[in-house]
Amino acid sequence: MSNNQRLVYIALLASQAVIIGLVERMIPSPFFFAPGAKLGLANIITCMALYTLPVKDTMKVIVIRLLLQTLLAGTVSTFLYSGMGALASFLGMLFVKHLPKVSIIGVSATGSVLHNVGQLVVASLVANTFSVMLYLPILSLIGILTGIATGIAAHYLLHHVERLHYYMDLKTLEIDDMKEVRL
Amino acid sequence: MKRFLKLATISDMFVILVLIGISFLPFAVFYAEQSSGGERFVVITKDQTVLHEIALSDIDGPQQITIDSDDGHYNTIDISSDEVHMHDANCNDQVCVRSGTIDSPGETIVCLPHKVIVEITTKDTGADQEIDIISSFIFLKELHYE
Repeated sequence: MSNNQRLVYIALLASQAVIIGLVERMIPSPFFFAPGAKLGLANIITCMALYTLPVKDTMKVIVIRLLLQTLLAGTVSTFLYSGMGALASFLGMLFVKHLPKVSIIGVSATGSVLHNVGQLVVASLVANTFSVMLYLPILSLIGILTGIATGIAAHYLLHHVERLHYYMDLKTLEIDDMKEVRL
Repeated sequence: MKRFLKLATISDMFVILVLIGISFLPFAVFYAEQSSGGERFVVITKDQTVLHEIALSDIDGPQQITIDSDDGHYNTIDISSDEVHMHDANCNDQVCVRSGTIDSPGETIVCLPHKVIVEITTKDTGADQEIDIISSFIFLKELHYE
C-alpha cells in the first residue's frame, strides 16, 4: 500500500470515528439507570483499524480521533477520561487479539470493558476516592453487551465491505513479507 | 440471533467470563480492605471528656469497662474484638442497655442521664469512607459526554 493511500485510509477511519462519536452524543443514552454508560459505536472503527492496519497506524487513528473529538466537543476533563479509556482499551484489545482463536467479538468486548476501567480509574483519581470504582460492575456489564453488539457490527463490516478485505489482505501480506525479510 | 451467536467462539466466551470477573474486582478489593484494614476505635466520653479510646484490634478477649461517677452512677460496657455493648447501667431509662450491640463506624450508644457516649470511629476519615455511589454519579454524568 502506498504511503498516500495509507494516510488517506488512516484519516478516513479517524474522521469516521469522530463523526460516529458526535452522532452518538446526540442520541439520548438508552441506559437511563446507569449514567456514563453508552453504546460506544466508535469502538467499531477502532476494531476495524486494529484488523486492517499495523499497530503503529492504529495508534495514529486513535490519537487523531481523541484529539479531534476533544476539540470539537469536549473539555480537558473529558479528554482525560476518554484518553485513559482509549489507552487501556487499546492495550487490552491488542493483547486479546493475539490470543488464539479469539474473534472480533471478544476483542470488541474487551475494548469496551477496559474503556470503562480506564475512565473510572481517572474518575476515582479525580474524586480522590476508591468508591467510584464500585460502579464498575454496572458499567462493564452494559459494556460487555454493547461490546458484543459492536463486535458483531464490525464483523459484518469486515466481511462485507470489499475494500476492507483488500486492506486486510495487504496487512497479512506485509506481515508475511516482514517475516520473510527476517528469515 | 442464532446466526450472531455462531460468530462467537469458545475463547470469546472465555474472554467475556474473564471480563465479568475483572468487573467485580473492585468489590473484592473493597471488602478485603474493609475486613482487614480500616481500624475501628471505641471512644467512650463522659461529660464531653474522652475517657477511653481503644482500638478494637488491640483487644484480645471480651473485657468490661466500668465508668463510675462520684454520685453513684455507673455504666458497664462490654467490649470484644468486634463489637461493643452496654452491659449494665443504673440510669433510670435503660435506653443505653436496650440499644444493643454496635460494631460499625459511626454507630453510637448514648446514656443521656449519665451523659455517657460510646462511639465507634475510624481514625482516618470517619464517615467519609462510607460508600456513596450516588454522589459519584456527578462525575459519571461527564463520562457520557466524552
